[in-house]
Amino acid sequence: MNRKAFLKKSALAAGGVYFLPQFLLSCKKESPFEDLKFNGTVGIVGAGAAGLYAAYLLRKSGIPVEVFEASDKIGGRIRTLEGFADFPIDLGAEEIHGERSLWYDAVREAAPEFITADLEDIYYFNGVKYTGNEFENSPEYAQISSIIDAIAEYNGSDISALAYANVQQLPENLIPFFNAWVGNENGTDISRIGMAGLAQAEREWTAGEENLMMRNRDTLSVLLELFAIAIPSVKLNTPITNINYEGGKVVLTDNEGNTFMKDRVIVTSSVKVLFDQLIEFVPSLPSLHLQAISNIGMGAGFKLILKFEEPFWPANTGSIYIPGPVPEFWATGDGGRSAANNVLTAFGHGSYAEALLQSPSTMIEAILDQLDDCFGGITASSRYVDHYLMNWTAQPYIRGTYSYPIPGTSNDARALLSEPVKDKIYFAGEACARNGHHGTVHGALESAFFAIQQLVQTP
Amino acid sequence: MRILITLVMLLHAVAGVSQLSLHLGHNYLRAQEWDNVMHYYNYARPWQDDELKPLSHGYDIRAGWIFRWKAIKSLYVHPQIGVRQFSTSANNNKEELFVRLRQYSIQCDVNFNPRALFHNVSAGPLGTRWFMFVSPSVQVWRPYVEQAEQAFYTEGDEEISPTNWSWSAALGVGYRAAMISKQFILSPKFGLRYTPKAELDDLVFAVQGGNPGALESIQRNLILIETGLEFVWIFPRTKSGKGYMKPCSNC
Repeated sequence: MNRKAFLKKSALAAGGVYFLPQFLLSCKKESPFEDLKFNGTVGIVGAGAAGLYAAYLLRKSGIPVEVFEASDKIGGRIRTLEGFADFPIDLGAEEIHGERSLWYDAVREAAPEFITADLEDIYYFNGVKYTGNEFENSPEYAQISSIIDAIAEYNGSDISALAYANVQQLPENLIPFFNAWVGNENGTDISRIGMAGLAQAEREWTAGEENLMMRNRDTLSVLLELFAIAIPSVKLNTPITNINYEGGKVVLTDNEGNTFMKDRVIVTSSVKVLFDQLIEFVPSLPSLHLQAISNIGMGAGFKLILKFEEPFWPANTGSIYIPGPVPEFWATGDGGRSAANNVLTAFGHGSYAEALLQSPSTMIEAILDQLDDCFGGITASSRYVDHYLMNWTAQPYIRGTYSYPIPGTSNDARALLSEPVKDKIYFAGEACARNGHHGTVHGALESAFFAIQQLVQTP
Repeated sequence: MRILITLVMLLHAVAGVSQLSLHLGHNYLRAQEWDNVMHYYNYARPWQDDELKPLSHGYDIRAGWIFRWKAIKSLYVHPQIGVRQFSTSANNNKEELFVRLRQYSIQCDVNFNPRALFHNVSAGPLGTRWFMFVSPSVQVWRPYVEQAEQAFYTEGDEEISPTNWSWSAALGVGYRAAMISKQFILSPKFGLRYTPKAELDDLVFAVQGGNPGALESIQRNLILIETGLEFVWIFPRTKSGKGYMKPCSNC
């Protein structure tokens, strides 16, 4: 071969080497599940965010799926209150935690407007009402912030967050604020949160630091719009009470004795439902799963929506922190959500929620007193019109708000719970989320994706 | 200044016994498990405008010197430093996720002609026209992920660059195809590079976010198909300054 011929052939060969892989790649279906090893049927227990998303992905993959929802509503811990105010109010998940998450990516598909107004918090401290700007420049705020910032580095014994605050010598009058930010935010109060799990979650968090709220959409409407193709698969009012995975098929039985045969099942029920054994597994779940379920906390919590004749808080108010029975309030309609802007949300967890929920008749009075303390006189109670209580603890098929780390355990329990049982039973939901994403919608979606990954790749 | 002078003197000394080379290449990375990281990202987001492509195609640029080791056996040593880059991006409702995998490498090729090891062959300034090369290398992997123009790897407000090390070895062939202006030799090269136990956990973590499970182990053995063009500048060292003679066309 002479040089000219060689160069000609080399040029052709180089072209081939360059373009052939691209051509082959373009022919290939870009799916990790192209080597789909599973071709059976799937049952999903629970039509919350995890269950709907799992059904959505399975239907996209052409796998037959049926979703069994115990209640008469789709959405799980995502629910909307319509008609109470001049805008739909989220009774469950509301905030989008972080701008680098599956849920954030999904929400943006629905093209909502986010609240962009600069909302300012209100603090009631030692009998004085402070604006966010005033309090956030105080030494007290700096003290709380510094011990919260140090949580991620915490590697001491697995004490409660309250004990940690005491070790850090946080003054008694700052404890309510610490509880609002650390306890309430994590689904309980600081006496019940374990520092090891809390620190682990802080370290592992990958979803970004920005918290976003939709201005013109409620969370449920976005969920239903995004995963619409999954909705026809949902059977409402079908509480599954027994899952038998002894034989080749998994047999699900509902409370009326109806049975459903599936090849695999994804259980997305809340961890409290699993802990309370509302679903009987036959044979019993492996001890590691049982241990994991008992190592993840979930308890009392509520959202109380309070309507007033007129707002008594400044425009563009964010959260309102007042020591008292409710750790945190926020101006629900602010940021452009509502023209009337006359609605506050009271949000409580753990022992605070238990104490208030014991006596719903005196609950409103106690909460209005708390607001009156901050805003003076009978500012709140004189303007009170109506309320709506979303008591998540009382929901028979949910039994709480969201999961939290309890002292003496680690978040590794969540990874253990999400391990498949005999390649037939898979668990998903916010309690199974890793990377500290528990208690969030994106954590629920991620856990569902993890379950699907494992399910479809096992023959 | 002393360092600069020393460097200039070293360069001058090196230039006296070697030829300067520049390599431009295309790389095809064969790593199914890594590709799956991108596939999983896409699969979890069926609503995306477009998809993340696997990090299959990359480009590299390398510079180095070719030292004649044993002229009669046509053995040459070719140390090089280089940078190789793979990148992909996807738009998710106008927010772009950009993923880049950059690799910095130090490698030392040994060029040889098997025939010349045992027979006398005629050779040009860079040895025989056909040659093979073996190429051990040490690499630093620097992944970079950005979403909505925000870097993923940060510590507080500081952007950080995760770093992983690996080593690799390549085997390939080249051809001294053309001499341009009696100053430059142009050589197409083709090789296969094997990298055992390459780590990409930082990149996986960034792309997958909280979705674990795409990779069970963070270490993977990689095959890289390297193609490229090498330009070697033949310093004129003859008294006439006319450069070297062309190598033979049939050896």
